[in-house]
Amino acid sequence: MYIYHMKWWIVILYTIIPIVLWGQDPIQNPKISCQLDDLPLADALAVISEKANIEFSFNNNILPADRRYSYSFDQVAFHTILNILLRNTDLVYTELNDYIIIKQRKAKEPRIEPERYSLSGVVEDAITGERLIGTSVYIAGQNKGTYTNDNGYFSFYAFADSVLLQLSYVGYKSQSIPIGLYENKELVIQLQPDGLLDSIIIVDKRYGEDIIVVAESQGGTKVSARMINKMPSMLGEPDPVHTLGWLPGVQSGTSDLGNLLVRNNENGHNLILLDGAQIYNPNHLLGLYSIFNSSAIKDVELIKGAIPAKYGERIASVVEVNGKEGDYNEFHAEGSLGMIVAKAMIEGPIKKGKSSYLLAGRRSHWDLIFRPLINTLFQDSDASGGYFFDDFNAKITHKVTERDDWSATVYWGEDRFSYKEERQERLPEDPSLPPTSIYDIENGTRVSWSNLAASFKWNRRWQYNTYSTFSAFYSRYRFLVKANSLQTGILNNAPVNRNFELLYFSGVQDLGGRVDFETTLSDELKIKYGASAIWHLYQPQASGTGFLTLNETVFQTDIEAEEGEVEFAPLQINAQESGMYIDAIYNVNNTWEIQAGLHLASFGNKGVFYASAQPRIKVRYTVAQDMWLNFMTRTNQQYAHLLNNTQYNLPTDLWVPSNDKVRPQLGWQIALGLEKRWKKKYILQVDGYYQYIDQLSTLNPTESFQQGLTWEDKILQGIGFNYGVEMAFQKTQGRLTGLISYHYSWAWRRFPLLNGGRNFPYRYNRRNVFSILGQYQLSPKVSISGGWTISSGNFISILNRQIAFGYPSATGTQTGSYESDASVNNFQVPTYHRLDLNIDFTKRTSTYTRKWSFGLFNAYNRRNPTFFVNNFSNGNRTLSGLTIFTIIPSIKYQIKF
Amino acid sequence: MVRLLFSCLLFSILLSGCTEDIPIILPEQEEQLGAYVYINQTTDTASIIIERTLRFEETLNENNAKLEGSASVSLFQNNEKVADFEQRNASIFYEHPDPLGIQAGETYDILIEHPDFEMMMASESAIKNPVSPIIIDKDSIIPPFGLADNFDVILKIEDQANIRNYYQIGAAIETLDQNGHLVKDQITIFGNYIIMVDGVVSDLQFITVGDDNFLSDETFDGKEVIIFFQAGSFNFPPDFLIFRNISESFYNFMRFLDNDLDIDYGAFLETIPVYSNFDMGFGVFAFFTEESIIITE
Repeated sequence: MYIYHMKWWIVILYTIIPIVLWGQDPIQNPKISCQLDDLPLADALAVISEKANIEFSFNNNILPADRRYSYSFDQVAFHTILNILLRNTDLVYTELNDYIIIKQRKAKEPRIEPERYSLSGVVEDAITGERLIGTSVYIAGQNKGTYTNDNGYFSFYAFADSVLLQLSYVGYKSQSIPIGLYENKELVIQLQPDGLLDSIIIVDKRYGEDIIVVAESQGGTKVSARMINKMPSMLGEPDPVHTLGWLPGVQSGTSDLGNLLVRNNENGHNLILLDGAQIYNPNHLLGLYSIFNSSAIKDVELIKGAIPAKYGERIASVVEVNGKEGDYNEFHAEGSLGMIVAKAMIEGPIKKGKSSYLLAGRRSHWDLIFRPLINTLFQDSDASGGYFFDDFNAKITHKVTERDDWSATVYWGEDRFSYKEERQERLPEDPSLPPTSIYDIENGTRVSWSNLAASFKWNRRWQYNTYSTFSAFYSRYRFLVKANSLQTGILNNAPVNRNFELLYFSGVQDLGGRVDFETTLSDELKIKYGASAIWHLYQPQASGTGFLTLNETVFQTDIEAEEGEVEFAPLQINAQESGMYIDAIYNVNNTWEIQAGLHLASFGNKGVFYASAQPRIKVRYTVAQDMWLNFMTRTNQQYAHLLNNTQYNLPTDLWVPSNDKVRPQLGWQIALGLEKRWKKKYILQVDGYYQYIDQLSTLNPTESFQQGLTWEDKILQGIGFNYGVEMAFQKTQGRLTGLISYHYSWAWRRFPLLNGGRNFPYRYNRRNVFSILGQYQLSPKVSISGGWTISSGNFISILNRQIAFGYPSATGTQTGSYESDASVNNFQVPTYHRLDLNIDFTKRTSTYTRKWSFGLFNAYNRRNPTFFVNNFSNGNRTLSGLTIFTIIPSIKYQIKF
Repeated sequence: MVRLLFSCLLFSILLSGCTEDIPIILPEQEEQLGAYVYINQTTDTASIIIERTLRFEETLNENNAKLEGSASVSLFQNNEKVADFEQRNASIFYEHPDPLGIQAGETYDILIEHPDFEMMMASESAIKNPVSPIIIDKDSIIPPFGLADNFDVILKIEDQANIRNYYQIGAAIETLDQNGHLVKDQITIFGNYIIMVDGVVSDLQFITVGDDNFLSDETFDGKEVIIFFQAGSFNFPPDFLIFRNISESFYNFMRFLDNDLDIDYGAFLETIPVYSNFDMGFGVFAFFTEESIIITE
């Protein structure tokens, strides 16, 4: 198996090295300096002839009489200058002895084209020094350009010339920089924030302009932190994951709980990364909030269509969360107090202009408010308990040189629920009788789940056309339940001192590294390539009880008891996952663009080895100006499986690996889309897609995590297919900006052991989902935003049959009865709709910015059921919809220094 | 500020938790047959129940589920009829007077026909191997033989490698029947016992099975398995342990059924359709072999 790995490495190295080395330095020829001030061609040639000491031979009559040249060349190669002067003419030249003969071009002879040189560099915020992702870098005259990558880096080729480099980025002043592109150039460009008011903007990563693009089949949709902070939100806390739910094809599953279901895939089919470290459970408070603190993130990118070859681990989507860099130049602080969460953030330079830090933390404060209230209301009880979550983000970045920088990110967050009760038991209860038993009972329960993620990235520009990132990462998710009951005193006239403990534990850990390269080979071809290796430790189940009497274990299961303590001996499964990839982006001409990629992956788990080749391609065809057709198809293989036995985001969800019994999940998707823009203000996108999933995993719905045999016995594998149409229409500029989206889809599942092996609808296949999102800037200080969504109800399973059953006992066949539905997900719940509103009052001074936000979640109090309960009374039955999230007002105060 | 926050929070809570009744309108379901066909290879006999499904509003009992008239129930092997089963006293039970001659490892088809319903058919392979060897460690029985509380016995199963086996474990007492003969009775599915399986394989050390008495050897394939029981309380001291090798459909059906019966559908959970290997209707066609182990003196 490892020989296979070696072979792949060798193949990759031998493939990549020649490619990288290809297309390096241009031809050497004399370099000259000269000034051409509005000269006709003959005079210009005379000047460079003199400077280079090279004679020309030509007939004056063939030179264009009306063309004049103004250039300032400083140590520019002679041939480069000559090609610039002769381009777009019908002239060609040849070298003969020491002469250059300029002559008329023959009919089939190609025109002279100037050399092409690489233009590369990074784009930064001029104030904070933060690298800007997705900035448009463009040379208008040549129709050449690109956008900055996730580290603010760009690279592309253009014709040698005196060019005007145009840069634009949302929220920053556009810049035009004159550049003499006569050799490969590396630049560090700083953009000034425009200080204008925010608008709701989803950045199209490909163009980086103030354009929003969603519903695309091509690439990622990036949502900026500024947009997230502007969106209406539940209880006033902006949330990146909930924000993604407004995009077409993305929904949250059970109403208002923060699942992330992309194109009717499962929650566990998304690869969620925080600065490169995987997040296995992105939820606080059962999904009401994600773990991502909007004050500590720069942006979130969702890739649901053409997932680049870099990623192969999941079949539905990639969600990349980029942590915010601290300010390289000035110290800033930010604090806010909302209805659920209080948070604070500080950032500033460690070494001015070179390195920075950012620290952010938040904590829910509901328990702090209610604990005193509960204690007051229930003074007679010795019970106490509470729930809260907190999290912490830290990021340090350092620009070592113009070519090197590194960053380190740490995230830690935990949800904690606790309950404690103390009481005394006395038997008999009649106080006039002498007690036979009198003992104290202490019951305690603690439930916690936590994420820890850390990553280190080193970014380096190796040369004018190659950029690399080396990264290492660690992530851990764990869930723990610990309950105990301690009894001390006299029981049945004998001393008693015993402790019953119950433990449940599950978790997953990753440790890995990856290297990613990006090389611009020419103005037509760019390649991205790299490799990764991850060591996984899955701990899918460890449960047990211990019954300790006087520190002696009476019995135990998978726990060991010593000194009255119960310790884990959890099941641990080691697995190794590695991958290599190459992506080639080829601009065939002004009409066609092709991106073809291949991801090779392997997965090993205790002698079981899987390998896969996951090809993908996307094609972009320019139909007309500002109108494109997009096509993509991809395959992905997923080696990890998320088992969820409820429809809610319970932290008990288990991640388990593929093995000899549970095979990897395979996803194949194809999509075709149309994109049209008008006046840089309006964008329409329509996408159709079809996805087939093989070996789709699900927890056998009759099983629970805590009982039964091993997790392998509880997994069912079947197939799934999802298809539908997404539409998005956006207005991107003006005082009113917004997005209208629509998703029309079907999704089916089939498992041999369920539903008689027949197809049944996916639980969250909401056939129609329509939403409107908008923001209006009333004045420089006041803005309002709102969102309205309406969708078909999802599906649930309702009993509609009864049947007796037979069972062979020792004495014959026993009978009993069970209730059965005729088919899975046979009932569609009522239509869901909701309106959210938000208004911000912002005051800016020279020293601080203060903002009051008032919000209404579910403004017209639509009772969308979160849970359903069967009611049986008087022979009738109904379904009770229990609505948790009715109208919820919110208020939030935020201040920034 | 805090007062304002607190007021908003209380307002939110007061408005939360509303319930609303939603009428359930489901398409009318046609009645279908339910069939439970178990063939005991040890005794070479079959126990069969044939009945009809009931609408949700009907009262569920054997009388209501009884079919109008008799169904035709036939067993086939390689398209050759092996046996026809007769209805017992116009009940839901069907039987065959003679041994069936079931051959280990062979695949059989069961065909059920009734004029009012669509035909049902299922295929299943008979158990290929006899009951796996079981070694009982009598010294492990604590306290020895037959005390109800703290019943503790260790069984070792020498599971066969590379064959997926399915097991069922039960306990029974002996009572006198009307004729004064000792018979097994009171089989239990260990509702009051915790069964623990020591897989002794890989990282797996102990698994708590709880009150679930159906096992598959997915995990401990080919390894020695130790099963021991912990009793809480039990009405009768068990005299026998019943140990069965069951076919895959038996296992799937009973696991679904066991869990289905445990679910309280009044809460937030939804129903799960019970596994069936019939192409139409409900039920299961399954094989098993059986062995009893005396654990009393």
